[in-house]
Amino acid sequence: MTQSQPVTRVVDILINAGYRQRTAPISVASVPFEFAALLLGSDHANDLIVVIDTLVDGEARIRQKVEGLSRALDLVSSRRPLTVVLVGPPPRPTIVEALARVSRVLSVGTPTGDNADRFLSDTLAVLLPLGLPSASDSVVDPLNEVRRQLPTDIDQDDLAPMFAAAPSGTDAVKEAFRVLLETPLDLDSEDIA
Amino acid sequence: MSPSLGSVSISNFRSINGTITVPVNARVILVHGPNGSGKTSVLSAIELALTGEILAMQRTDANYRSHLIHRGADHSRIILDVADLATSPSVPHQNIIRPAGITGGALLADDVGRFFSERCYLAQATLGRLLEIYQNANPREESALTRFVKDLLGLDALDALIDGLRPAADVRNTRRLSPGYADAETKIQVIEGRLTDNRNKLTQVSNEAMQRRVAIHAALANLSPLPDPALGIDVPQDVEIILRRDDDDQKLIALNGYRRDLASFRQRALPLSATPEAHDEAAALVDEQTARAAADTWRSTIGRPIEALISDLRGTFPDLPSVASTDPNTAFRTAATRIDVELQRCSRVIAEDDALIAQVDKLNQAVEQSRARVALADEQLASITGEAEGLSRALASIIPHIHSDDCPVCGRNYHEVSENPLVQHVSTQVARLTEQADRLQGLGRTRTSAVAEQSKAERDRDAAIGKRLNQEARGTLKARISGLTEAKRRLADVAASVDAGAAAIRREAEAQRRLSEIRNRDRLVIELRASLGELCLALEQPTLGTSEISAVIQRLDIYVAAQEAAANERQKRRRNALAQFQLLREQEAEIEKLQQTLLSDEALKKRWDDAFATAERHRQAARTLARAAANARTDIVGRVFNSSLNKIWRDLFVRLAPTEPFVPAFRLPQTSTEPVTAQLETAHREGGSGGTPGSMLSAGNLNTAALTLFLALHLSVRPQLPWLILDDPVQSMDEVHIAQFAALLRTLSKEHHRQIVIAVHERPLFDYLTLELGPAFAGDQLITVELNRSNAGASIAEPIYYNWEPDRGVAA
Repeated sequence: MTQSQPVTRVVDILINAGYRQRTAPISVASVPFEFAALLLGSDHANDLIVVIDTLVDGEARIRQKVEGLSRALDLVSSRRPLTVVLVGPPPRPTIVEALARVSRVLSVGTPTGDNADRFLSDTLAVLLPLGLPSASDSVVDPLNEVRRQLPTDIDQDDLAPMFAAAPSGTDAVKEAFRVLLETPLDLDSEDIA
Repeated sequence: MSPSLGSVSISNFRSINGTITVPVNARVILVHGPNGSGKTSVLSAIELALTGEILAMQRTDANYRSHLIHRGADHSRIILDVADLATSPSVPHQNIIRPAGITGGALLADDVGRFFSERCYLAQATLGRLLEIYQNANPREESALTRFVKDLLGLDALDALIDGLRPAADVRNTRRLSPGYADAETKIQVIEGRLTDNRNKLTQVSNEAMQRRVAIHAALANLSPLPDPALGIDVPQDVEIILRRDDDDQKLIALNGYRRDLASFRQRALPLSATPEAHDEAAALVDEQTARAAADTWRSTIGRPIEALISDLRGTFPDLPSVASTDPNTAFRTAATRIDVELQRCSRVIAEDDALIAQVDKLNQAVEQSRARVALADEQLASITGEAEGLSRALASIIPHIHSDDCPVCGRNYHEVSENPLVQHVSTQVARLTEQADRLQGLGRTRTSAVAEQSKAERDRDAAIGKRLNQEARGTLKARISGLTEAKRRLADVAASVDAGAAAIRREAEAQRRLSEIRNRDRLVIELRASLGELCLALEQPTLGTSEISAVIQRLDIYVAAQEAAANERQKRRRNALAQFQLLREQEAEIEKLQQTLLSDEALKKRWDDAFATAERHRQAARTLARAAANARTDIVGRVFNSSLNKIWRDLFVRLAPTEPFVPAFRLPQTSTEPVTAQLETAHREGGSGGTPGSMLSAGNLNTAALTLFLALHLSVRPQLPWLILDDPVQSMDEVHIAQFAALLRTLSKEHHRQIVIAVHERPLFDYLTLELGPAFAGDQLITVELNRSNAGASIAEPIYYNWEPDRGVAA
């Protein structure tokens, strides 16, 4: 079956997130099922995602198909969690509630405009991999950052002891600063009577 | 290998009655049970074993430890098994809780334990307060958010730079920090002060020296001999030689000698002025001759017999002066006096001898009387029985033995002799004998006294006889008295003419003295005029001429005094000039010293100025560094908040609340100098900011915001422990949220390898999670634990293990 344009966008996002699309119709417990698109989770996830275009299927039909699939999965003791992505005009709440009793329902509607992609990603977020801050994002070298902020004409050698003392704490920096101040002033032999 | 929870065995802890063992050695553990079955007790037992405390309970009740033991039990026990914990051996950790305290301590080190309490374990009580905890930071304490930021970024080094270099910004604080810096400022001020002082002093001393040179030149001009006029205003060393060449000393010594000479002349001339009338030497000579003739006449006439008489007397008085050797009066009076004295002596000796004769007669009579008394006493003594005293004592001792008239001595009866009793007779005898003895003693004393008187009178008589003159001496004395009486009479005859002689001789002596005096005075005048003439020559003064001696002396006196005054004045000026010259030399030395001090101080000041400039450059560099550190901190915090915490929080929140248009976020600090504080706000998904989460989100979404904040905090930092323990976190989430939440947990478990322990009380949610979190691949495992109670009330834990099996419904 051919996919409508909104369904393709959802499928693309999910494939990008590591889901595999089953192009052939599936049958569970010898019952054939057909959806706008059907995807399976990656190695470490056993999700079963069906994408339904509410423009194509009527509400009663949608409910019948989803509840049927759910029952079939129960029948074979499948442990795959079922997610239903609804593309197109959202069905009535009673229908969505009925679907939610047997599956996870994500209603993406028909996103348009500049934020359409973003809205789509937000809605599908729960299916998408969770991007954690990379090590390089959070583990910065604060002292290098300070060096970068310094004016170019400053004498880095003068400041080196303070950089060296910084990890040892405030008192160590104070002491390094004091030594830096007092070293040129150490004119012992020139003492003033 | 990451650390993983193994199992926990709990006895009589909080609501656990008896002992249960809960296996937690799977990727996901689902704990289910009705309210009050002990879900929270199981999870807080794990926290207590790991950290030694239960943070959520501590927040509400500081005394919570006393409520940990199950009612009715005397102690609790927790045994926790954790595998692959880097800091501890993999042996079960045991805590025993008694009313007295908890033994066993914490399994985790402090910082790891804190990470667990804040980032791994979400207690039910904490979830409701989480936003509040992160929103309301007490500025005086390190807030939970600050701690998070520090954990995340390690900003301690930046804070150390910012705080440590704060004194660089303000010079007063710099001084307080660095005594050396403050010292250097003071030292430079001291040098500057000294330079100013010494420059002023140099000017002053130079001026004084110039004035002194002028004064010395003026003094030299007044001196004779005049100094070399070629000498300029610079006073050279030979001026001192000139000034020290002092001729006036010699001159003054000479003048002093002349003055003494003059004084001596004046003294000698005094008699000349005292007897101003001139005496004729010739007249005096005649007077002398006349007087001498008169005296000689007396000597040859009347004086001769007197001289003879005195010569005779010399037989008796050999040392009598003659008339010729003294004056007649003296010779006469001496002879008369000596005669009188000798006559008196002789008469006295004769009188004493007469007295001795009378005394001898008297003593002879006394001797005779004493002799007569001794004879009388002897006579009476002879009449008294010799042994009267001894006999009376013997008889007295017999009396007690006489008892009758029979005599105890002879045995005869006394009655034959007398009528009276024998005892009376003997007693009478004793009394008579005793009386005789007393008289005998008195007679003895009388005789002894008489003998002593007699011998004394005899001694005195012999002494008087010894003192008496013999007949020859007595005759001689009488002859001398007669001779002297005759001489006395002869002296009295010539007494009248002695006075006349004495007067003549006196006149003679007076005439001779006057003659001699006149002769001496003439000699003195000649000598004085000669001496004064010499003095005039020496002083280069006009000679005497006919002037009076005293006038010449006066004239010379005045001249010498004038000369002395002039020499003294010159000396005074010279000394004054010399003193000025020495002061000038001292000042010149001082000027040189001051110039050297100034040079070295200027060099010293330059060195200190340079050193201080370097220090100041360092201070400014440190200020720049502090500013750079503050800017860096702001940049880093902003970047990290935006790219890490807010990003992942938004991601998590959107997953659970996809239809909520407002998303919670931290708003960042605007200034670079303040410590990291952040406020909670919401942002609209389409852009723009909303109010605080409390005012913008529904209760369910607030709960979601808190839950996702907790997960975001957990995920933002490097996980020290890959554990998530959630205590019934979805009580008020609707079914849509639950489904999303289940998907999120799955993602965390399967994709991010967190070991998840979650307690739920709703059966459908439990079933749904059992399905959603079920094993998805080989090796994946789920344990569900049903908590319940037996009829007797004992806690029961019933675990079910789920292992992965290929899905039969839909092939992969």
